[in-house]
Amino acid sequence: MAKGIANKLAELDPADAAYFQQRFQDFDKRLTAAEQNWDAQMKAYRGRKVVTYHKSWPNYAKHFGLDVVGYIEPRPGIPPTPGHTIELIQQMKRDNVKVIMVEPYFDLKTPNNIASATGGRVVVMLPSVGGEKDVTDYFKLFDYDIALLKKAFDETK
Amino acid sequence: MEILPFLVLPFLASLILTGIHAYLGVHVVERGVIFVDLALAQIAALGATIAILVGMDPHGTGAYWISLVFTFMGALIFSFVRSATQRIPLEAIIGITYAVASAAAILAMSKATGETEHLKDMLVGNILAVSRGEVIKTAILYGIIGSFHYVFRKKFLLISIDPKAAEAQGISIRLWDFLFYASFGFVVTSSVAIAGVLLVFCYLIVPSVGAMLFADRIGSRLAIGWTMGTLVSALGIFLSVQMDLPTGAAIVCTFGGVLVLMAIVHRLTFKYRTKISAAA
Repeated sequence: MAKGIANKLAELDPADAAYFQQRFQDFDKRLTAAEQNWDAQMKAYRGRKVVTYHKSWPNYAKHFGLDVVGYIEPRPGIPPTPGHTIELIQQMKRDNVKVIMVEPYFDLKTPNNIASATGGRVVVMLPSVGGEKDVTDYFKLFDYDIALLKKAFDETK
Repeated sequence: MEILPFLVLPFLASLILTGIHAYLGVHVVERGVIFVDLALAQIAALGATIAILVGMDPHGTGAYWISLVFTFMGALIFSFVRSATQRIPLEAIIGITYAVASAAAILAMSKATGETEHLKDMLVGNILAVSRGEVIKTAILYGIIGSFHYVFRKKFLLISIDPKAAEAQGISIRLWDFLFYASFGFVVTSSVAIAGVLLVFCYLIVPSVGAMLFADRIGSRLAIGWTMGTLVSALGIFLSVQMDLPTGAAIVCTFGGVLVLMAIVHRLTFKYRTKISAAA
């Protein structure tokens, strides 16, 4: 995506093409380094089981090898039924699933309730830049979310 | 299965809701201000938005107090409007208040920087997720408000049923109206956070309407309303487990179904009664 932006900018403004190319390469280098760092940090947690609010972190979970075993609200916008909630609680207990990943715009009551029934932990992860004052760019976004996840995994072993 | 313990708290919460709302519903139906709970809940949501706008935590105590102050301002508006204008129906003012409070909340959100997505959740509670702390806190609060209404029941009932007679007795309608709307707004705001707008509306209106089919005296209407609320809650929760349905919506539809049944029974017994009296 960044390469596409650099190419288009170069096309629109050929005089500065070299500058755009150089900025892109710098970004690409920083991103590759950051990704290696993130992967290294998350390596210990590959295969860990988690629950998410909706089916909303598929790429994230796939990239870091997290195993999403269930959803708080399987049909977006429809409150979960008692049967589903109990099943989820039992599954979390059985498989020792402790981490519930939730976006900041969902109400935390249901996740908190399930967490307290299972001894788990609700992790409010940011889906995009700007969710917190300090999270100003893509790099800080992943730093922030990974730090939260690691803490939750470590504390609920 | 561990399904029963899981349902104890939601059922207790629904009993608490039945207790206070079936009573308040008698007032609301007598006054003909059916949608006042929606208006007050929306005003409370507006208060919470303003709290976010000035940088407070939407779930903190500061935001709570601001919502409460807004609710009381709404109560003030409703109590003044009733005594000031005879020709304009109060329901019109309630509708306007609802629309303006909703729009003002949108305006406030458009200026807020942080996450305001919480707000829509304020009006859709999930009764399954009610916590033990919430149940205890709500029981105590509603107990206090219920006792307050019980102590002054004659005044509260008179201004709802026959405001002219109350005025003739020298009761300040404006003051007692305000006390009614303020305590009502307080209850509605807390209930909506637990159970959501739809369910709270049903607990408020349906038992009272169902009871009016069969009784005129306030005491009997309350008894019928409370019985109906309790049975419908239990049946609704049972159906939601049996048929794997979202609990809140299941209770709302059970309320609707039971009310239709009651209307049919009323119709049949009414015909039967008139036949007997015609024969006699």
